[in-house]
Amino acid sequence: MQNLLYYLINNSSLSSNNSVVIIRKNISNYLPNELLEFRNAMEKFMAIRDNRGYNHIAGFHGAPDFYCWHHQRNDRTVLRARLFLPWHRAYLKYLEDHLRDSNTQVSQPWWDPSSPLSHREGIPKSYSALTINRKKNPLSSFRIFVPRSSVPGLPNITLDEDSFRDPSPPSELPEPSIVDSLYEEEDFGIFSDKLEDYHDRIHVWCGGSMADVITAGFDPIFHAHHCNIDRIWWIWQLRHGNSTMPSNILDLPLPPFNYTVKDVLNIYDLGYDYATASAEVVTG
Amino acid sequence: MDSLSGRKVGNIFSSPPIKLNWIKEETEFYRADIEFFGIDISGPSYEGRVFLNNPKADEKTELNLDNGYAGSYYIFGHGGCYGDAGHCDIKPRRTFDSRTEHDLTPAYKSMIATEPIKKILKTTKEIVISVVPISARSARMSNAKDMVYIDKIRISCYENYSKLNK
Repeated sequence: MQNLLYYLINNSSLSSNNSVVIIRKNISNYLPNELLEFRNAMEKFMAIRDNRGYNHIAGFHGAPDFYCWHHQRNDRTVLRARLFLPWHRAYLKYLEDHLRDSNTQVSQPWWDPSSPLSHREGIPKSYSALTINRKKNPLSSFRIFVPRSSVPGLPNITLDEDSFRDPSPPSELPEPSIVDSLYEEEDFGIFSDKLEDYHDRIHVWCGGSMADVITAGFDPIFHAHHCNIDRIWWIWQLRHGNSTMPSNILDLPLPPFNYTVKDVLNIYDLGYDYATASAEVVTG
Repeated sequence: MDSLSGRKVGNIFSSPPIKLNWIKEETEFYRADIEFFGIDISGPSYEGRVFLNNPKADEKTELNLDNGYAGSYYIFGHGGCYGDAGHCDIKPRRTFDSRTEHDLTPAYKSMIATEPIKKILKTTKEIVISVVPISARSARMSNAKDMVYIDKIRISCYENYSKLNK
């Protein structure tokens, strides 16, 4: 697979400060200290209740804002726009920028539900453990709070609940061969639809809050799942390029984020990359 | 038999017969797709198990070719309406309306079902599609019975162009 080094060599216009990138790593390869740092950053992020906090930003996806883009919808024209992948890439990036406010060393991990490990244990233990060192594990659930005023004649639909999961058996997770077959698709539209169906399957498998658009974005596993979807798209892009993406969607905006589709095509321009694992040391 | 593992089964959807009379004995195709248009996504998340010409298919039916199983599609559903009156009414946008289409705009799904369709065509040119919906566990509307609503289903067979060009 081509990687960042390949990109740096072949893109002379890339400014030097862009070479400082975040590496999103496989959650199953996190070292204990990395996991601790990530959990601490999530805990701080989740404690912020204003527009910099997890509750607010997670709410862009489902309740209360419903900005998320799924399936093919029209964007004010007859164009059937497939913005599922670009929109979620922008969403992850925006959320990660805020996550890193308290610690620039952390990034979002990705979870591969088709891996042999997932077929044995299901949700990664780092996310499923309810407590860590007698403290609540911030990756296991999140207190969703979306207040609503009481409307006469309508049920009270305030969301004030802990996110939860009710997964099916790990053996029912999709096989790796399904992901392999995605990489064989040459057309962006077909690839996007198939990857979205794979993504839908994981939401169905997780059950609970993850199974409803309204609440899914609040569950911390949502973002690890979507980083994996984004990673699969990136690997596909490296193999097939972007030439089959309809040119008339490239300038479409991805509200509420300050990006168009074109802006999010290259993850190196967004300052991150995907790796199985990585380590670094300060030498001077 | 496939385990349901606590997931709930909704009412089984059955299409009217789809007539493939244009298939002749000499017609060759290398791929056949089933496309689902206008799938309702406002309800629960579910797996839709798709069976061909098997009106008795249900949640206990084994997922194999002999039973007409063509594959599954998955719907990440909204789980009901979170909003005031009218929030989830899908209305077309007006001219010069700057908003994108309503987020409950029905979905499109497709699947490649070459072998199941070829098998059916050996005996008949009419195909009835059944969808057995099985909800996600503990989703908001996982007890709903009417999970599946589909506007239109299309079956398309494709010739092997590389062979034609030889």
